[in-house]
Amino acid sequence: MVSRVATRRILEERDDVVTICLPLFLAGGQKERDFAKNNPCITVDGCDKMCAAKGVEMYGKVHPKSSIAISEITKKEKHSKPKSKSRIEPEDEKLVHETMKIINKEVDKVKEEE
Amino acid sequence: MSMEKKVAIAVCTGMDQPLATVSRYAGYHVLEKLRPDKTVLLCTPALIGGVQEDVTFAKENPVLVIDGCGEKCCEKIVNEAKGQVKAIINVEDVLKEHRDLQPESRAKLGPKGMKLAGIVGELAARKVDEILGDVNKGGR
Repeated sequence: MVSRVATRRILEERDDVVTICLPLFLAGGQKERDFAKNNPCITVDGCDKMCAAKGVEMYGKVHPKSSIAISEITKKEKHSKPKSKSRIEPEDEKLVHETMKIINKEVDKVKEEE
Repeated sequence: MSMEKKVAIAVCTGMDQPLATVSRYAGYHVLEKLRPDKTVLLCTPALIGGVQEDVTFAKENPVLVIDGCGEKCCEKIVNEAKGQVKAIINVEDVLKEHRDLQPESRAKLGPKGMKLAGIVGELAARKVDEILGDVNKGGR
C-alpha cells in the first residue's frame, strides 16, 4: 500500500514519470515490456522479496536503474510497519513522505544521467 | 486431522486503472470484513518472482481471482504458477451490469466506485463459500 500510494503521488506531482502496469508486464504485455526496455526504469517494492525488481529483470530483460524497497526504508528510518493493507493511516504518512523523497531523488539522478 | 483449507484471494495489483483499485478494495472487503477466517491474500508478483512459500500456497489452496480488466493478468499469473484457480471474477464484467457505478479515479473510487467494490466483494464472499463447500465435499 505504501509503495503504491507514494508512487501514485509522485505521478500526480511530476509530469516526467509514468507507471507501467506490473501485472500486465508480468503476464506478457508486450507494450509494457517494450516501454521498460526503451526507457529508464525504477522499481518500488513493498517488501524485501523485491518481486517488482526481479520481475522486470526476469521478464523484461531490463536492469532497473534503481530499486527501492519500503521494508528497507522502514528499517533504516525506524518507522513502524503499516498495520492496514487497505488504507494509509495518519501514522503511516511519514513513511509515505520519506518514500516519496527517495523516489524523487532517484528520478532526478536518472534524469541527470540521461 | 487435515489442515483446514483457506481460499487465497488474488487481486489486481495494477496502478493504471480505477478498476484495479476496485478489485483491491473488493478483495480487502472479503479478507477483512466478510470472510476473514476463510481467506488469505495472495501476492501475485511473488508468484512471478518465484517466491516458494507463495507458489506453494497457491498450489495447495483454492484460489479466487479478482481481475480488474479484460487483460486478465491475475488469472494468467496464477495459472502460470500452476495455482488452483477455482473461481474468477472480473470487475469489468460486474461494471457492465452496474453501469451507473463508474469509479471516479484510480486514487479515489468515490461513493459509486466503493459501492461497486462492495458488490464485487459480496460476490467474492459467495464464491468463497461455494469453493470451501466443494473442498469439504472432497473436491480438489
